[in-house]
Amino acid sequence: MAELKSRLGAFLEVMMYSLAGSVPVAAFFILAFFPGYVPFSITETGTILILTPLLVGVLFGFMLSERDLRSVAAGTLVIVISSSVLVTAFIMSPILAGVASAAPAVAPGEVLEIYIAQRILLFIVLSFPVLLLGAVVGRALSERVVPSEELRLELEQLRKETREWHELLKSKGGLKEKSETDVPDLNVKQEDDSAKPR
Amino acid sequence: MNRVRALLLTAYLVIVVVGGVIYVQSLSNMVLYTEADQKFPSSIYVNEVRIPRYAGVQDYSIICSFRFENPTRVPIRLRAFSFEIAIDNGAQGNPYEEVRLTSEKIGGAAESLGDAGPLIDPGGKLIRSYAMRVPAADSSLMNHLNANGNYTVILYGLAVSYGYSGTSLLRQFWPEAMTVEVAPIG
Repeated sequence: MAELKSRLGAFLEVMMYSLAGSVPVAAFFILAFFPGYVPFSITETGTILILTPLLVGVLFGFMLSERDLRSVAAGTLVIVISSSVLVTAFIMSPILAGVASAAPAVAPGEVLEIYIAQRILLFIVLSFPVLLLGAVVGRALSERVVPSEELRLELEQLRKETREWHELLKSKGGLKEKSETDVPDLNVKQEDDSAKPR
Repeated sequence: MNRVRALLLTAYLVIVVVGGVIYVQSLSNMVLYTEADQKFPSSIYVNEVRIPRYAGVQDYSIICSFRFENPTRVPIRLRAFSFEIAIDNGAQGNPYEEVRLTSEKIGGAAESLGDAGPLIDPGGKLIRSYAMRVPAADSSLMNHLNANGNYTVILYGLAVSYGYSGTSLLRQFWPEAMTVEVAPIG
């Protein structure tokens, strides 16, 4: 029961971060491709298209530092799917709101479904690889910068055990004796090896 | 939670909030602008046409004003407007036929306002007046009164460009020709 609860918690955490991450990815795609509807204009659309998924991906990877890499990849997929839904909702919003019978972005001779499919495909092609790369990099960096609680505890335990060993060896004088006995042995071995006929 | 993680979480939330604001604003603009594009083109009317004659002046004057109403929920900026004006000669056939209108044309006006164009508030209206002079040499065009003793003025070739405040969107439409009966003054 406890394991199920922990798994559900992990799933919800990944979903929450993924759904939240899909909002800026979709928004900046709209900013780049439908600039007339955004309250401000940006000329660097290419930079926006590359940097936003990368930044969101890196931060997303960092946020999931306590989850495994499969969860990060699955979360990236959720971001792309939910962003696609948001972009589709944006294109179809006048129809959904009942103010128009056709989407204004679609030219009169164009089919709405094909137009949406083209945009979504373009969106996936542009954003998914960058998003995934960012998430993997973010996840990898997080192990160094913000290690997971589990890893941190393991490292702490290891350090503690090592310290105890050192103290134990020092108290018995084992460390000194060991170093003194090791070196002559090696020398003897080397001498023996060189003395052997070739 | 350590400090670095808290900082990154804050950055993530900031991006999410900024993205959310942009998304909601864009979605709202998409709906409102589309609605405006449906309603605004049918909200342009001829407000008044006058053809006054002044004592001692051989030329004809034509004063024409249009009323732009904004029935939408967003402010609309008029960016350009142009039209041509003709006086129907009363001949048989289609009064809106292009060659005929060209032969009856007495003038026109065009103005390009761009970003400095007037803003029409939601529910508000804008009246733009244009004055033209028909030289005495073209007075033959003005000698066509209809059966009621009035001029049949045709306003055609109308072209309207408009946009929305704060965006780069530019819309254009071409209203149908309008006919107005005008009593001669003076």
